[in-house]
Amino acid sequence: MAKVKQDIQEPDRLVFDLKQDIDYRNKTWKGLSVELIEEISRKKQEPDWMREIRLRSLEIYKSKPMPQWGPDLSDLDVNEIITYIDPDFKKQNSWDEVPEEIKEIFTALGIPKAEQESLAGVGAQFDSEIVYQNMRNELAKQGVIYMDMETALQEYEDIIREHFMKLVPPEDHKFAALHGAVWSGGSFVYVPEGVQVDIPLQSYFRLNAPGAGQFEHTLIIVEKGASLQFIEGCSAPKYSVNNLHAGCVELYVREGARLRYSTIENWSKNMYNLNTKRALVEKDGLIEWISGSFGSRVSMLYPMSILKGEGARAEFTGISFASKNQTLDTGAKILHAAPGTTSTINSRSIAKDGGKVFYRGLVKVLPEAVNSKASVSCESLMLDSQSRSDTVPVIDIRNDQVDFGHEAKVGRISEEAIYYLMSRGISEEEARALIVRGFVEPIAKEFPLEYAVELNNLLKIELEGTIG
Amino acid sequence: MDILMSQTDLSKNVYPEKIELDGSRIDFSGDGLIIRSSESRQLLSPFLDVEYIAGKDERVEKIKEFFSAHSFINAGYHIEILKGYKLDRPLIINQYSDNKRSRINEYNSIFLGENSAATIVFNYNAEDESEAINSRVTEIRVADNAVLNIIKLQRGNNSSLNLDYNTAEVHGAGVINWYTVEMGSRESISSFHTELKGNGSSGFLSSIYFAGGEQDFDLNYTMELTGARSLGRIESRGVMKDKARKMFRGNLFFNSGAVKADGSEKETVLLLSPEAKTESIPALYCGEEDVVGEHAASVGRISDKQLYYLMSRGLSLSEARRLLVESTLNPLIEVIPLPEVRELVNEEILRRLYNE
Repeated sequence: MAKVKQDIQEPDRLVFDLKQDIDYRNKTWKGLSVELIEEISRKKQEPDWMREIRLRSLEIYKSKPMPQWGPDLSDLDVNEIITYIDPDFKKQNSWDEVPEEIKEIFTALGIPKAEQESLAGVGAQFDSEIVYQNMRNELAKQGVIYMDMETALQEYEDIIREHFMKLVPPEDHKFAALHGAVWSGGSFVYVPEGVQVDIPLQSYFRLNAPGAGQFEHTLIIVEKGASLQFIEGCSAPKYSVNNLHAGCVELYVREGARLRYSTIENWSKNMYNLNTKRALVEKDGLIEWISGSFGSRVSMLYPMSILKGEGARAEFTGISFASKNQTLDTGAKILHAAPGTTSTINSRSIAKDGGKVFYRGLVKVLPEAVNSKASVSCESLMLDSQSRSDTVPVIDIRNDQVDFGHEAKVGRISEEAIYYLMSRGISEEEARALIVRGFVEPIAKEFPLEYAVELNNLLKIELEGTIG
Repeated sequence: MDILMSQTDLSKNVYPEKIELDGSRIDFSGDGLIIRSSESRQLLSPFLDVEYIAGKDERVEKIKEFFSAHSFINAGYHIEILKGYKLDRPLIINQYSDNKRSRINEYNSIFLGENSAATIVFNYNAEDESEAINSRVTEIRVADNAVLNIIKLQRGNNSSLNLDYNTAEVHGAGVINWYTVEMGSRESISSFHTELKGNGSSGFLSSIYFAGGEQDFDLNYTMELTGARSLGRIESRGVMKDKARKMFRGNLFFNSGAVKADGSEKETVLLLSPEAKTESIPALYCGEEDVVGEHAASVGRISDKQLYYLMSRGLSLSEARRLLVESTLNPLIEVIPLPEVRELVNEEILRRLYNE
């Protein structure tokens, strides 16, 4: 299989492109086969039912066609992807125990520092496995569980069995099936009834190996009346071969519970990011998605909220920024399945240097979801005419007791605004950057503080590539 | 199947203020106007854009199959307005289906020369309740500075299928104004594709629909903005009751080169029944930086508060409902350029609202 040499010119991504020279010989498992999957399962000492989910998923994967819509995936050859990397060290709960070369990366990404300053707990995944996980003691005392999925599978088998791939069944689509077959790593969070976790937990996913896939599984259960903020960060250095990310996130928000799930995705531009995220929200519960998509060559990401209980709410706030050689096909899906449910989608996207952004969304209101409210707002900014920005929101309403509103805008930076700023002594480049910042500001302010800073840095890096 | 036999003499048209055609065979030329029956003519570019507009919709496949299996044309006209000529009377084409005319394959081609103007009405109706399949293709070219108003009134009976494809190219600073009113047929799949090719060309599409019973409407509206400073507007307003279903696909394309183009689409739906189903995909496709594009959609219902307010002013429940239906549709009915069509639409809405 010939590998396509990519010509990616992009600004320095600084820390994100740090590579660690790790000797991957004898550690990488390529392709897909029953033997490989049984070997992963055996190595992880999984119960039989999990091995069966893996094998069933593999069958489904083989039987499903590639998606017939959306971005071009023809260059992605899953058989060439390293599906599992065997680490030769165990998960640690002290950074001092983490192998030096891995610790270096996470230190450069600022994770241990953030942990001390502003996080209640951190999980760090390097390639296929979690290498570090820790949480503040007071949370553990309140019964909060935060651990890697492998450990959770040993210690809380019943809970995992009841929820694992129930929201996102492997039948859902080809890459959900792939995930079911080769998943590894990820986090399990359980917040008991009434417990408020005020300081966020964060999992950071780092993919270091060239040509590898990352298939982490995140399962979060927030019990009745409880609340949680969870942050997910992803990055990888750039290689000339394709990498694949097919993670899966399943969120259970019980009655009156609240969950804020924030993601900043900054994969390198050789990454296929085909991720599936879904939340089930019960009576009066609230799911808030905060999503920033900057990296990857191709992204297909449409977090879905199922508003199952009366009065359940979903809020999606997202920003995508595509530049050269990137296709970011993102959006949000909301299913109103109970009376009095509410949803808000607020999406902004920017395209430059031939980048393509595509907002693809769905709001569906079932007949039983009377007195529901939904609103969708999409805005996109084109920085040049080589780029593309498309918006396809699907609205499907099946009862008359609904208030629905949608609006979308596409446009460019107005010349008047630039002249105005320049007349105030600001250079043209600064004026453009200022306007772009103003455009993303309503979204940026929703991000956790340290991520808002990262978002600003990313915008700065990206904009430096175009202007001047 | 040879359903259109008689000859019409345009000069003897009985309505002095309008030219009315009843589907009869005609070959007329004079006063800057050419009208010829379409039968025996070949489609200019059959289904040029069908796939493009509606994607891989299986119903589109069905239509294509049907049309290719019945490729004869038994209705429609070629209409040409010559350069500089302004048709001072509306041209009205009446077409009825009945038990003898239950398979209509209509083809129209309409060409407007430079600086010309015309208002053309297609009035589709049914004489009885017999099941009809009406397939229609209309191709339009509007030249520089020409203005075409085209009104399509669809009132097929409740057992009929209506398949209606329309494509228009607008050159120079030409203008096309579409007014489509969909009220009839069991199932109606209609598509209006306008390409604004000329620099400074404009296209306006206003769509009114009223769907009740088990009617199923699939409405496809596409504006392609290709010329610099082109202006495209799509606005749809509809009322749905009973178990009606409707799909709205509005596509705005800003093609590369459409600098300073301005496009918008807007959709408003009023639901009168909990069993009505409405789907909308108001899409924007943008490949040019220097444009302004917007879309908005809203789906609403009659709130108890509104009804209560109106009834507290002495209106009966049905009067209050009627007022709200009218206020939803009126902004688009008002802009239809012919008073008699406006009146007809208003009457028809009331009839359908009360199921008379």
